[in-house]
Amino acid sequence: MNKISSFLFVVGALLLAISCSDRQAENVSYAAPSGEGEWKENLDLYQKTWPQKFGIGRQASKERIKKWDIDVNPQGERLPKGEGLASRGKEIYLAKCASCHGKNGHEGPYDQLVVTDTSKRNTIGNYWPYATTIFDYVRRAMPFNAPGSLSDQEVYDVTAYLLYRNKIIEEEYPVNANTLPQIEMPAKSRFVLDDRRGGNEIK
Amino acid sequence: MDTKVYWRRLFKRWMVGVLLGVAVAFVVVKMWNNRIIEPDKDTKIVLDPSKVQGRGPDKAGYRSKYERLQKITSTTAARTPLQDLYGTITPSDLHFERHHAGIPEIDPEKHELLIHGLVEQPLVLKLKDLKRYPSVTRICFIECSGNFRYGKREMTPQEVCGLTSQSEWTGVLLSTILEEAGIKPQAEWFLAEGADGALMARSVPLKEALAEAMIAYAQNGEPIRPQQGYPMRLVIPGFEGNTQIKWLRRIELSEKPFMTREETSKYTEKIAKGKIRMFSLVMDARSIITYPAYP
Ligand code: HEC
Repeated sequence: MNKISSFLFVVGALLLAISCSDRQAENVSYAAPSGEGEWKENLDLYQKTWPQKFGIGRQASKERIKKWDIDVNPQGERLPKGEGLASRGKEIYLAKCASCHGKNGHEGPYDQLVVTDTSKRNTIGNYWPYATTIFDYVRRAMPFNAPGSLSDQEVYDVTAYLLYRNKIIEEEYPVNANTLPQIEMPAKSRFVLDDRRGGNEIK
Repeated sequence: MDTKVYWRRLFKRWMVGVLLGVAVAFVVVKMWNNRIIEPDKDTKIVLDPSKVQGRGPDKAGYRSKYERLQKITSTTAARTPLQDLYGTITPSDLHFERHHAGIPEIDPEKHELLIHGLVEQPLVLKLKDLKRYPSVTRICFIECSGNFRYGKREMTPQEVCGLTSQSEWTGVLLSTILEEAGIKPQAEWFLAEGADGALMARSVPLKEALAEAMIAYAQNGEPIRPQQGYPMRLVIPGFEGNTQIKWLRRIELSEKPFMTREETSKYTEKIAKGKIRMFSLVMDARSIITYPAYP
């Protein structure tokens, strides 16, 4: 009796093992042809049938590009002519920005723009790595209720004012295409590129 | 009073009455035609939809009134009801939203996509031009890098992880368009800019984007919804949602990144030793159990 039951047990275990290994084999062969590999292969075949150029769309003229090419990078390329002063920027700030960012730039209701000793919030004076970003961002997106409504002159002035209020420049410092990219921002050295390299690591 | 005037006034009033009556009748008939035919509300008989005529076909379709699939909204975001979904596709109307200046209303006839910077031939493309290029279709998830909330036990999957959704996107590979314009060898990055009130702008590394990114104009078989970037958006598989610029209007190839506000002041993380990590573009893996789940 005992022998028979142990025999049955062994047979059962064998059957179980075989069925498990079967299932594994199935999975492997199933996973291989589907998904990303196939997408790329098909795409390669598809692309082989394409001409060198399609000739669809029209050429963009220099004027057309100039109209939209508003970005200002850390090198200060494409910064317009003009010069900003904090004293003039103050008036613009109080008229067009203070209602949302506070009279002193830190009382809200929206994003704090001026560092204070007590608040740890990220803002221009303690978190922004490039001064050029202020010009770029304010010109593209502010004031929130009338984005893009400021003249380049106003953007220069208000940029100077925000830098001054964050104690990054003196009140008289002229902000222009030359000086703005040279302004060292306090947080600059803290910024590092992404160094995550995949795997199980959690950072 | 002059009897003529009297009769004229009476007639005018009468006309007004008739017009009002016609209007009311019109509305009533419309509503009557659109009504949902349901069995009598007599509790003594068993409600049986197989014993009445159902509603007729519908131009736009609708969900069962017994299902309540809804996003949770704030002023700048909307979260997908993960716990109510099945399979792998997020219905387009339930795709999560995050915008920085609201949803622009864009006329595709007026919308243009400008490709310039370090290219041989700057190009302007309209939606109808884009549709003439060879198209690709691919299922991709998009996740906001601000996804994942925690802090209390009583949270639904939607509240925890609702800033992620998955769609089937159709469009043109970015590489197709950039090769049409001709990529100059110095180009290593590009700026992608949206046509919304924020002129949302992000720098994207060119090499990664050339491998897989697409300019999509359709989502789950229909034109992309305004919330998701109508008429065209960038889709960069696996990258943080913010880089996949919606309402795409401009791509500028460059040597270096532009350091916009959205890649410096925002979408960066404080890490060890007081450092701040930027351009953490690839989303890490994330999973959540949607059933069973709270509540
Ligand atoms: C109607 C309210 C409103 C007004 C007026 C306004 N802003 Fe803003 N501002 C906002 C909001 C809201 C944000 C955050 C936007 C976002 O996160 O997408 C913001 C963000 C900013 C930021 C980025 C802050 C950060 O830390 O990332 C700057 C800089 C800024 N505003 C400057 C200005 C200036 C300069 C003006 C005046 C010319 C102005 N704002 C007027 C509402 C306003």
